[in-house]
Amino acid sequence: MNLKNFSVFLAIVAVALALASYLLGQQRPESRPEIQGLLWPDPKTLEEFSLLDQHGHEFGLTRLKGKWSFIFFGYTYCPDICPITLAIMSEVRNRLNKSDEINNLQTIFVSVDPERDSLQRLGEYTGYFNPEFIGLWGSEDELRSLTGQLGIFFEKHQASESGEYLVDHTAAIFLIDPQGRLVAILSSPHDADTILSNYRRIRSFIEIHS
Amino acid sequence: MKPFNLLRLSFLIPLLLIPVPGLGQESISIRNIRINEAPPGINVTAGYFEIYNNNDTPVVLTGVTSPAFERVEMHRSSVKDGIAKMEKQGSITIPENSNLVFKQGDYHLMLYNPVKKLEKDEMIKLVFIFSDIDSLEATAMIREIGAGEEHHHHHH
Repeated sequence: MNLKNFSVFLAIVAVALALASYLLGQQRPESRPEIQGLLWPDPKTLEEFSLLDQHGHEFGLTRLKGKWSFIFFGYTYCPDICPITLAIMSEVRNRLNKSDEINNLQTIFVSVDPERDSLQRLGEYTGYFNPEFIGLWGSEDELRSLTGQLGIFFEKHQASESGEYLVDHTAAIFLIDPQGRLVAILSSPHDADTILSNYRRIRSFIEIHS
Repeated sequence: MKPFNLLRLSFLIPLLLIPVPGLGQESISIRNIRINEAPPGINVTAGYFEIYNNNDTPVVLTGVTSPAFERVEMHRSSVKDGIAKMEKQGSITIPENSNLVFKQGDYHLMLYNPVKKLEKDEMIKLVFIFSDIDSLEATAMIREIGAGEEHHHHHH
């Protein structure tokens, strides 16, 4: 190879290296950080749904906009996992309040047992754990307008002779951002420390990237 | 052996009637029994405890009753593939020289239809029923959901 060709070769290598370095530098800030549960870079934008809150007021997509929302599913006849989750979420809420952070956060419990969970029952139940909680109710079709979007599973067992039944349901807690996007799914088992830590990291990340 | 010696030995016979610590409720202890307070309007709640089997053979817990509740069932919670489930348990075996913990998210009691509204810190009676040994009575305190552990030891 003569000197001229070698110089051309060097120039090409230099350009290639510069390009590679630029591209790598561009990718690093956009790569998915190691935050448990975060759905990035493809958070799911939710579509309209129609439920009622415990006061009988409509609750749809507009009430998710402008706030961060924890949403999880269960039923009031569930004596073990649902009360634990609600107690943990109440602790999360109380710790955020005490820390004077900018909350703008709502905690929502959605009943997957519309037959037995009346609005009044739901209101008393969620209010017992924390007066700031929102309980949501809908007919099975209305429920599916939300559960279908989030990939939530729920299934009623066959009733016993006394009419009682259990309901299997998704155990995860879903985090929706102020743009109405599903940005994280927090899987069980749940504890307040982990939820708080993940929420803070996810919120910081989303706020930077939005 | 000569009959005379056998007769002398007969005084030892009453010793055979002294119960030797072995399979029995004496070797079962139940500790840390907690019953959750039920939220308003809710007639089912959960109970948790630890059961210690200090026998050299397994014991089988077949049920629990309480005069404070219409019905008590044993269940086991689990989360499989992200789905929370509960399965009713007909009987539960506690292996020899081991313990079994009924706790949140796992084995628990489901207590249905309290005969009257139960308040936090109230004490209620539970009866633990076994297949091969006498049942065991215990008392438990109603506590706030998610409250810390309490320690009530019950054993013979």
